[in-house]
Amino acid sequence: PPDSEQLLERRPVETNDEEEEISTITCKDIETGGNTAKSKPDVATPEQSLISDFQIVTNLQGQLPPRLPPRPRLPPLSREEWESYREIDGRVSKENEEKFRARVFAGSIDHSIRREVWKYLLGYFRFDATDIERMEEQKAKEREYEVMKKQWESFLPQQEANFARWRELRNLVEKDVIRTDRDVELFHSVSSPQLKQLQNILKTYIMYNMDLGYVQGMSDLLSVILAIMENEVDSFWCFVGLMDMIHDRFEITQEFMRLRIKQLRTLLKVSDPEFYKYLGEKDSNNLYLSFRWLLVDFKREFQFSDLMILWEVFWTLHLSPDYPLFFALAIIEKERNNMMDPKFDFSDIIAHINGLSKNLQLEELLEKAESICRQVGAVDHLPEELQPLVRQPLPPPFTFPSAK
Amino acid sequence: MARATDKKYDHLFQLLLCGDSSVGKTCLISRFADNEFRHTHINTIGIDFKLKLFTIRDKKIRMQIWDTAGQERYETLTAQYYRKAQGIILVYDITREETFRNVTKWLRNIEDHGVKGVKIILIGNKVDLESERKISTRHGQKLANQHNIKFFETSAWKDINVTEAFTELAEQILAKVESGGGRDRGSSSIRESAIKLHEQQPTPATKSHGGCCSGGSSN
Repeated sequence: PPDSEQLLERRPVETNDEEEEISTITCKDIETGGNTAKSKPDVATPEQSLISDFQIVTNLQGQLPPRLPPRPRLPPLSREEWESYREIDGRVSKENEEKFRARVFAGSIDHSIRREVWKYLLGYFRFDATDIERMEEQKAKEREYEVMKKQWESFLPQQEANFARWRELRNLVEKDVIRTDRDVELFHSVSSPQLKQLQNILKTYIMYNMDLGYVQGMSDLLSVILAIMENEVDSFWCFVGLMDMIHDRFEITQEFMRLRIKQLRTLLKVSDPEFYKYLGEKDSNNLYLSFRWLLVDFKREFQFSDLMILWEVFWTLHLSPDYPLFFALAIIEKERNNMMDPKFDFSDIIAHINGLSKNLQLEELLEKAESICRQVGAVDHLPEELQPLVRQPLPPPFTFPSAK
Repeated sequence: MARATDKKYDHLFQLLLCGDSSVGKTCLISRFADNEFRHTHINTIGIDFKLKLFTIRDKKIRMQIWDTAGQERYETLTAQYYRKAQGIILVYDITREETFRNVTKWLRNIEDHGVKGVKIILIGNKVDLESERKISTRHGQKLANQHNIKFFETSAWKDINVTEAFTELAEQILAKVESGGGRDRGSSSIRESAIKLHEQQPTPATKSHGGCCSGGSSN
């Protein structure tokens, strides 16, 4: 309801009412309390204990169980492993698909097989199709792409002149493509074929989904896909698959983005009330600055090589349909001490957040995000607002079959 | 208290840039704040931000400059920031007619979401592309006159008139603040809600103070 939203946004600085309900205890204190650890605790390695630099586990009305130590990431999924999930005719069973998702979540994908595997992750290829069926379907998709591309390519000048929405979106695409990842080698030259392909795909997507059209941010997502696919048609259909997953973010009302930011706020409030309160005092707890993170999945915060790893984790939908929220929380948690400088004001906090771009340690944050997600997922009665965010019950951490 | 000495500026001003996509909002800010111009631009997603310390008439001004995405879609997000801005720079591209036509739409947005009496400047950017010009200086000036706002033609690339435009806006805000007609931050709507809150919780109300450096959340 808008009322509570407003309360959160314009929260008076002085209130202490929440403080009494909150008991803040450190992780170590809790662990001996042996609350409700659902999965087996891992043996902490020396490097893991380093990470518990500031693990405040908080009981907001007794909601959060103890945080398990972060699990080290696994090596990337290899070609042999990927092949082992496939039947002789090329199908991947439902059971293996689940294993595959868990596996990718835990270690991402070896670069040499990304081009193939992303087509599955992004829903362009069906897991349950045989190789023969898939080849047929791919051919059909190629034809469909050509048809849609021809549609805008064959507009007569008068048609374009009478079609304001198309002109507006086409211009936006053209203006944005020449501003997309130009510092990346692949897109650097004005005459690079990849820039042309970005344009073609985005314009064709307008024809595919005229209601959504082109929205700023899309070119940022597409460029990474194109860098992997190196093929216009495949990139288009992978992009379609991605949009099927996340089109809500781009809808005109922006309600979904507002909901996500609100959910992130609630997650932070539950997981780190002290920092949440601090942000409130600095007029920053609306977390609008996470908008860019959440709209384009941290595209502006990481290099391509890291983004691929990160997005694969998101696309598995393994622990959460909206895992980026937990990843955002991991960044905030990692940086909260740096931001709790008494001299910091609103501007400094924003400047700090902005300065994080391209300065973040991906692996560590991924490990942290999993810990946070599992911790939240182990709560017995999650607030209704957070319930859709975690799979219940959470699947256990991935282990290799050989390692008992 | 130590607070006053911690602060290295006299005033905090919040500015916001709006206007159609790709008119050069981000480039204007980069030119003003960092004196740089990059030829590999990126579009602004949602909202972005830069800080600039700036001196006018011996007053150190810390400028918080909000950069907004041009696509209409993100207006619901950027509207939140209109409320806080004391000064708004509305930008169009002199080589693209539609960006000029949309100025009235942006002015309406400012009226809908901005503070009453917010200072506005109109900028026609990209005068370095004179040969592609579609909107004459006279047209731009006329529109600005109609709305009683100052007008500048600029080039972020060639560094023409950029500092002048920002300075003019800062001057206007400073004059308003010093005359007691405005505070460093806050809008009529925020002020109203603050007053309402204080009515509910009888704490000493932070009464409107003419200056802006007396501490409190407004700094």
